[in-house]
Amino acid sequence: MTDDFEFERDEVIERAARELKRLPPRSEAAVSRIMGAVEESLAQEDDVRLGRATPDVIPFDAAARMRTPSGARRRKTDVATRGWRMRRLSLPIAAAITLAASLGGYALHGLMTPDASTRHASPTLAVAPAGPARQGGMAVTYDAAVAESAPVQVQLVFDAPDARSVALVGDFNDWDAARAPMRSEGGGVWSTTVTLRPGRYVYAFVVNDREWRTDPRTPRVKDPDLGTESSVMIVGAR
Amino acid sequence: MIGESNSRRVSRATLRTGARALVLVMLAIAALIAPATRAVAQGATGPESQQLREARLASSLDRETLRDVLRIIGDARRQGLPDEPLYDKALQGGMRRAPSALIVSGVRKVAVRLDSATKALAPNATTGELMAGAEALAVRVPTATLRKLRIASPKRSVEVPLGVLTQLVSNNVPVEHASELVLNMIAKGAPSAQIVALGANIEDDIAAGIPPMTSIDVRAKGIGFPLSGAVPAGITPTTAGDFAPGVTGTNRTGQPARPRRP
Repeated sequence: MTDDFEFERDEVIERAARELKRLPPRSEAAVSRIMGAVEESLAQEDDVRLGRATPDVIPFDAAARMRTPSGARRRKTDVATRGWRMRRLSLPIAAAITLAASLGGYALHGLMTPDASTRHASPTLAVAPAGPARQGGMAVTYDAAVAESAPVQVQLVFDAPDARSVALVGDFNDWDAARAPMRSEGGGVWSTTVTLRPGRYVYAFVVNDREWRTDPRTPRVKDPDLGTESSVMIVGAR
Repeated sequence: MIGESNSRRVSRATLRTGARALVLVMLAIAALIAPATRAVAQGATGPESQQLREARLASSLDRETLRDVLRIIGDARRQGLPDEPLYDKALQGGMRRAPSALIVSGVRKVAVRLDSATKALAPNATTGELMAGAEALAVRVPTATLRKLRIASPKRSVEVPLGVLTQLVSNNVPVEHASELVLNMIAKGAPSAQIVALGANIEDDIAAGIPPMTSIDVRAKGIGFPLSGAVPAGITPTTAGDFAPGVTGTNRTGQPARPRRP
């Protein structure tokens, strides 16, 4: 019984396979049209590559023609070469992005890690301190310090209710008011946070771009050479 | 059909040209921004910052003063001295409208002090140490003390101890007592935070009306380093292991400088 069943099944399968193997009728015109389009496309590709092609003005109805059967065929042809074109386009972009990222990283590295050979460090415009601020005045926060020479964040707070602007200047930023503007915290309180390596620093506040004031919360020192008075802070590490 | 195809090629060629132009612009912007950002980030160091500093000097000093200052800076640079503190002094003077003669003489004095500090803190002094050494010399800390500090701390930076010493002397603590205390702490391996805290404690004492000499004696005893000639009976110098915060007698040991009220 099993043998009969398998015999019948084999015959049915063979008949079905024979039917399926028969090719559908094909249009010779369609075949020649497709092959012609392919050859034409390849010839144009060569012309463009060899510089023989003359570019035309971009037609306004190009998009409409792209929807025609010939346009559809051309799209398929283009897909075959698009990978190569994409690589040509993406290589310089990738190189540029890599280079830009390297330069950006270089710049950011400078932001993150001040040069060990110099005493000065970066004025940080971010106001939020890394650690607890004391009741006004100077507060050294140790979160950033992992070694004795590691830079630490120092928040400076200054009371100047009458000020329109306040900047922190000192021997850590070339006495340049533009490099450490302080932010108004409301109620006449101004604040900024600078990142400094451990050491002794002399500084002052510039109020309204012209008036120099010392910090009433820290010791004052008289410059031994110029006779000018400044505030002094000693930044230590953990 | 050919026209249509070429127009599409033109379109892609235009895109490629645009992309390349965009890439070039991006590269140019990145090349311009990166060094400037780094200079600002590092507190303006290097050749580009030198130009920035000289531009700022030119805007704040008269021509003769600028010429004299730049000549001193050039000489110092040729001697291998760091130019940063020299620019700093000139910029401070310029920004604060100090008299020209004071600015020039001030820059010259800094150069002399830097030279002395370089010799005293040889052989491997960092820029920060040289600047701190020059500041210490400015308040009449002897060169010999700088040398002793270097010998006591050949591998660790003495920038912070020099800063504390400078500050103590500026607060009228006798230089020999301040030097002895700082030297002792360095020799015992006290961390810089400990030295900073001690300096802050003494400053607070002085601000509160305690005589400088009394304060330094009391504080030195508190951390187990009584000064010579001021050793009270029954107190023996201990080791660096006794520097645990709050254990050895100072009330703010290991803490950063306390804010002051006017």
